[in-house]
Amino acid sequence: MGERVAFDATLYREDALQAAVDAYSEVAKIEVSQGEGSFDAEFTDVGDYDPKMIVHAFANHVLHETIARRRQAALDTDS
Amino acid sequence: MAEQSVEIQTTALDTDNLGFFRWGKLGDRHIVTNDAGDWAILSADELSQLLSGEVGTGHPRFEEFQGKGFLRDGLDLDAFATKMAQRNRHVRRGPHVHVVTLSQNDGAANMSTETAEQIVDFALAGMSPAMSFEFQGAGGEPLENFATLQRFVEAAQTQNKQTTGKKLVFSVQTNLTAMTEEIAEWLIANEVLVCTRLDGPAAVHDANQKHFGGSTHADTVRWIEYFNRRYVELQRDPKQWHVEGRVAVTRATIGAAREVVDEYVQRGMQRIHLQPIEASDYDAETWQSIGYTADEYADFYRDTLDYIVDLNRKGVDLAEGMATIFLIKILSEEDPGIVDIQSPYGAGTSQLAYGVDGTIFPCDEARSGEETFAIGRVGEIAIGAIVEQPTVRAVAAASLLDAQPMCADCWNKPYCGFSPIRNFIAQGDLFGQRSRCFECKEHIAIARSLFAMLGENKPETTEVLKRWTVVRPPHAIDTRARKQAF
Amino acid sequence: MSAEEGAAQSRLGFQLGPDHISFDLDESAYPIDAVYGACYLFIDRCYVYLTRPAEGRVGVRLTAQEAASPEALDALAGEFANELLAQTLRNKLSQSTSRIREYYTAAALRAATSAPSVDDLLAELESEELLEDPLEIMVPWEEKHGDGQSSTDPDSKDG
Repeated sequence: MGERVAFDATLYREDALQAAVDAYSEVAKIEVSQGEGSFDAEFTDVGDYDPKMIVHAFANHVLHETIARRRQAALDTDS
Repeated sequence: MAEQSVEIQTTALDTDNLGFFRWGKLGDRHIVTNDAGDWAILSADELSQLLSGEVGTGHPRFEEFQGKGFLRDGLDLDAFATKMAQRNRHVRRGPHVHVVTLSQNDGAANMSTETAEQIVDFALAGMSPAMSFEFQGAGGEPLENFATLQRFVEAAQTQNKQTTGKKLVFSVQTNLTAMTEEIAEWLIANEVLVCTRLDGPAAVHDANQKHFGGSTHADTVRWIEYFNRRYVELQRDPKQWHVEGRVAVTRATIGAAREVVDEYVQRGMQRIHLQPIEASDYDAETWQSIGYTADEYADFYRDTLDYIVDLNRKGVDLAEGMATIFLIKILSEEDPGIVDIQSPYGAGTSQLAYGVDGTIFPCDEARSGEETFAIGRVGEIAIGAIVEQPTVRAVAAASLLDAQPMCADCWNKPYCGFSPIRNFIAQGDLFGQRSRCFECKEHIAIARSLFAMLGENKPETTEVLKRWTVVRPPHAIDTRARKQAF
Repeated sequence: MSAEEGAAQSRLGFQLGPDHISFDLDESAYPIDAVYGACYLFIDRCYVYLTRPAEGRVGVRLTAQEAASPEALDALAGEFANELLAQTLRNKLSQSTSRIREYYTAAALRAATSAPSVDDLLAELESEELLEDPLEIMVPWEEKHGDGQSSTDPDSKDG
């Protein structure tokens, strides 16, 4: 059983989570499942990395992607 | 878990009477900027008064804030829009900087004279009435392929005289290893500007040489003196005609900042261009020995700029290159059109780069990602079609500061810009995480240093900074040449 | 707490953990875009994780990326709280001026991107005195912009 983290669906975008999974594909194996009001990510095969650090860094990446995509979507709507 | 609390200063916001502006901390004061590039430095009390609608007639800064559009009362939207457009009008001129790679991988591949002629045909068909051609190497030295450089310049000058009548500027980014008196005299006679790397005194320059290659300090200085002497002999204005120098800033530079500046003063250089190196260009071990953090670079830049300005106040005439670019944006109503310090990024719209085989790239940095960023070959595509290329459009869209978290709210937005291609190379993503970007911290450090100086309201300092915008870089030449071999 | 209670001192609560701090924020006081904006500024030095502790509330946890003392975490909390407040104000100013910005941005875009004729471009360059100075070096901004109203004077224009 690897590290698990839940990303609240009202705060994080699903496509942002997927983009982060792709970006981390060479670092860890990350399985995403639909939780209750959340997207749940489970981490395995993190190699020599500290699993907690990977989860933290991954969460930052999902947040970055979410914020960037929200802003882009808002601009697309405006134009 | 312990319950704690922090004190915060809440401020009212008079949403009905304010124009749009951004603000941020500048020491114990605040910098306020708007989309037209106007700015003001406010005390904490003044910012609070502005935000809460307490700046009315009778307030000592009412007219200033009104004139800058910080207040809605009296805001002339059309005049405001005209100022914004003025700052971006260079964009509609089309590509005006053409970076030509003459030699690659230490001469393993060289541009042919036929390809050079095709590039001339291609570029001169563009709309821009003024064009700059920069000759570079990519892992090589452009003067190793001097015959093609000659043919390029001659073909461009001949064709331009016969047909297009544009204003042309030529420059070569050289490490001087292949320089001879014959080549030097030809470059001088044909008005090709020379840009090179001078990293400071011999101890610093020669220590860097093992990482960057190029000429020794002694040879570099010898050629700088040769060119500058010949320009004087030919009675050319030294403000226009001098060797442009740039400093590849390494950890060694940071430890000898004043000595580096003193070297430039001693050699009679007009401008010093401080250029950070990039971690993505080096292996981890090398970076460990010559690299630095963005915060270390910011401290170095601020201290070095202070020193340069101080020397200028004492009569020395030496401008810093990046400061000059930002000062033109801050102190004038125009933009110098530097490809990666504008929004949108100017790759493909302001600049094009050419590989040795005539492959077209949207900018010089894009040559590193050949397959990803190549947008065609000269002879196979018209210059007018470049702006419609999906690569150019994607890069431009990714570079819009309004689309970037952090940038959209940043007080430095009117003066800033970034390279999505550099992001792609460093982070594997055109957008990148702004707060992790070195150039973001670099640009903030530069602007913060300049505004701090301007905010002192010392006439002797302001005069120095204004003078730098008068003696500015040759048209559209970006002396940094970030991705060329040193 | 509202950001519009007037200029005043206030306090914002947070929880201090061994390597992190946590805020429980009311979205009616701190809009989600302001929360995102503040969080984004900290992702280069903190690990940031958001939760939804209750309807209309956002939990923000900032974990230091390197070892941090309680004093450093306390300072971090102060920095985040003040940035959150600034982001809230920026967000509201941005919303209240959105139509103004749309107008001048569209007008500027039209002017900046309209296809110029070659004559237009030449006239533009001439106005910049490029024709007398092919290297565009020696044109003082004062001359380009005319007179004592020169935009180079921070005291008259920008300073």
